[in-house]
Amino acid sequence: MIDLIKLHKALEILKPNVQWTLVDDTDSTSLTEDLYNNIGWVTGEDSNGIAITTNTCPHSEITFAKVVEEILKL
Amino acid sequence: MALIKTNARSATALDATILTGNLPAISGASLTGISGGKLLQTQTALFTSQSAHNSETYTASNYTDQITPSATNSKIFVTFNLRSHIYQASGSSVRSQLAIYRQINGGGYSLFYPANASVSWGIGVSSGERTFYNTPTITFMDTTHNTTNAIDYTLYARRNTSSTGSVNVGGSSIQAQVILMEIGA
Repeated sequence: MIDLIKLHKALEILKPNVQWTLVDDTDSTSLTEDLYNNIGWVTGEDSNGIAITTNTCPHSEITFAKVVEEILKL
Repeated sequence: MALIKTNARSATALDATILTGNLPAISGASLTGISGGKLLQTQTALFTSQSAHNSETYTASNYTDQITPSATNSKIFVTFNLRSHIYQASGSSVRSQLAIYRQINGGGYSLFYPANASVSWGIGVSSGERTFYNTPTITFMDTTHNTTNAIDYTLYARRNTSSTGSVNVGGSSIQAQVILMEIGA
């Protein structure tokens, strides 16, 4: 499984306070593109207080390549 | 003239209070007036996955389990055992909110316990990077399901609105378990 705190740090560098969620049940210790594509980017909230998410990143500052680059710097 | 008393018996004439010694095997199906146990069924699920909840609204973990009650008036005893950890690079507080959402018959999840979910755990500090680990247990009794359809209980998590940082559950090789028990009325 990946280091979720490193992923958080990398995303905070690229876009501070970005809101996201990810379930990781893989054996990979590094962020794969498949896992990156499973990140749920929060775009809103429904009437039950549950986040509305999309797997298509709506933030131009964030790409898979940039996230990996930032993680490797940490 | 000798009088012979027969040993005839019938199911209704037998005086059970005089029975002693070795008794023949009797099918449980033939017994009446027996009060059965209250624990009707159990369901368990074990997880070793992890999830991040870096949001100020609830997002689902994959810690979940399902039970189909045998009666509408039974109770469901619910337990989530898990590890959670929070991280913050700087700032004055990092707080998490953990709650169980319930779904009946696939009809969509809604917040169930605690009904007024607020900060579950966290810490306020003056400065510096910090990571905290905790092993919360969430236990409650569902007495309001009123259904014999399938019920799903799922852990949801989020950051508190007055907080920053990263809220996570689980971890590499870290076990979490969900236990559901149906208890008769």
